[in-house]
Amino acid sequence: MEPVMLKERSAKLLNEAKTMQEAISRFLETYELKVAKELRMSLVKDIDGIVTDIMRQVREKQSELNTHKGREVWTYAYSSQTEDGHIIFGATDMNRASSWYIAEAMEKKHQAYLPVDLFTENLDRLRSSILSGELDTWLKRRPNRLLYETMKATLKESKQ
Amino acid sequence: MVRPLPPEIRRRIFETWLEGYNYRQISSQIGVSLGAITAIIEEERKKMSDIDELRELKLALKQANTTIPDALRGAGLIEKLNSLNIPPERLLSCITILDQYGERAVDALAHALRLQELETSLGKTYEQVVTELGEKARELQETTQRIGTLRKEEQSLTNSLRDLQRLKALWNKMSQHSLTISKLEEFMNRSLKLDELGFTPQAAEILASELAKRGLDPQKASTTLADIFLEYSSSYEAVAKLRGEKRRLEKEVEIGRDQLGGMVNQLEALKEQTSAHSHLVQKEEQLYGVKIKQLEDEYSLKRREIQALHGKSMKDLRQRYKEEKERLESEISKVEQTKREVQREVQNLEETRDVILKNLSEAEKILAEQEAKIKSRRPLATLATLASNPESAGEPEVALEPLLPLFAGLRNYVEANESRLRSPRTLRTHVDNLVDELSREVRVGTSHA
Repeated sequence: MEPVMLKERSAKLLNEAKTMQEAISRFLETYELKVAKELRMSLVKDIDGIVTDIMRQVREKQSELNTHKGREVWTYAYSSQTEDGHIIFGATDMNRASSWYIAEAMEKKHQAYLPVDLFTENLDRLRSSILSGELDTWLKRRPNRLLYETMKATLKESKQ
Repeated sequence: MVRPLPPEIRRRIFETWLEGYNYRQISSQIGVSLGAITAIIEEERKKMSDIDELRELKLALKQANTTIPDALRGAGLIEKLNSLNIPPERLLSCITILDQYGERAVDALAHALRLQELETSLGKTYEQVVTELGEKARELQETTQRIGTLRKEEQSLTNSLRDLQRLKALWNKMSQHSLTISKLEEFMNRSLKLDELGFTPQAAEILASELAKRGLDPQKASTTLADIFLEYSSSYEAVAKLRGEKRRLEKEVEIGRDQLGGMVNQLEALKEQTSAHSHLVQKEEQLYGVKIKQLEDEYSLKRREIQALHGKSMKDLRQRYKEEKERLESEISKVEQTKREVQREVQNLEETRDVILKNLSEAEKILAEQEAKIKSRRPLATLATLASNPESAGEPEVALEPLLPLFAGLRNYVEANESRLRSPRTLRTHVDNLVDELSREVRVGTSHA
């Protein structure tokens, strides 16, 4: 084969390789984006499932305290001492005057206590962070652990 | 009738009573009745009216622990003190003075008495007298010092006066000779100068009288003498110099003679050497002349031989050599041109080869990268495995992950093409559930709570 022909063929081959590189990169990029997007949505869904249960308990407590002005409903989360590290979420009523003092005391026992409004406010922030990819390191971790850590961080922030 | 007591007992009773004992004590002591004792004492009282005073004195002496002789001596002392008008209370101080001054106490007492007399006569106390005396002593000391100073001044003035008298005498003498101070200074300077020159006044006088005898004026004579001496000294110096020069020249002549002797010897030796050399040179010159002649003859012979042998063929050879050289140069030029063309071709080919190799290398690199990328993410490989051999597709989170975008795409497709599908809602529900579950499996797999 003539050297010129060889040169043309090699150039063509290089172009094909580059085209393929672009196609593969695009495919992988799209693939990763799609996978990440689905995983993020799945994580949000799971967290929403946990939150739905907490909010149900909140509503029950609020209906109980309807006429009691000295008390208010707080959400809580703590890690069980079992090996699987199961996280327990719930709602409880607390004395309005001493609630923050108790929250601080419970924080030392690794229990996160948050007022309902602060809890819901931070949920929106958490959803946005997950969907924007800021929390992609959490995609393959348990959603209840993420929610628990978020509640602890929110409590720490609120004290500052 | 009561028998009278013996005189010895009676005396004893009386003495005991005098000692100061009362009647009862005497009765128990001597064994005599109180009545007898009373009778004896009364009897003695009648004889001596002052026995009671005597008994009291005895008691007092006993209390004072002294004897009657001592008491008598004391009485004598008191009487003496009274005569000296010394009150007894001052006796102790007198004794102290005696202890202090010893044998000189009498002198001290005499001084004290004189001092007392002095105080009485001056009508002043001892302290006043001492103060006055101190002041007087100071005045006396000052006066003595003043006298000392005045005496020194007097001595100094006396010396000055003596100097002045001498000066006055000198002045009178100078006036007699009509001398002024400047003249005197001049004389002194001259005299000192003459001393320095070694002229005593006697020597000068002798010299002057000798000159006078010869009728010579001293001024002229001294000038003439000075000139003579000057001339003499310069002549003397010149002679000394000439002598030194003479000695130096003599030494140089001596050295020159020695050197000349050496040089003459050297010259003789050189002459001998030169004569020997010139003899040798003459011999060598003769030999070289013969050799040169031989060589010149040989050269001319050889030259004639060469000219005869190659006169014609050398010309032909030169012509042929020239033609051959031109032909070869032309061929070499052609070959070099071909060589350059070939080199260019080779260079082109090498460049092409480099481009091809570069392209291939780059393409190979890209393909390798893509292969690695595909292998590392394995979506396509996993899909292929799931299609061909699903059991060996690996862990769920790895095997199911490539399906997630596919089913998500399917969900979107169903949503976009509802009208074209037979049962889109059912399909959508199934796909949604499938995507949810797939996502959960991929996220947390079997560890999901």
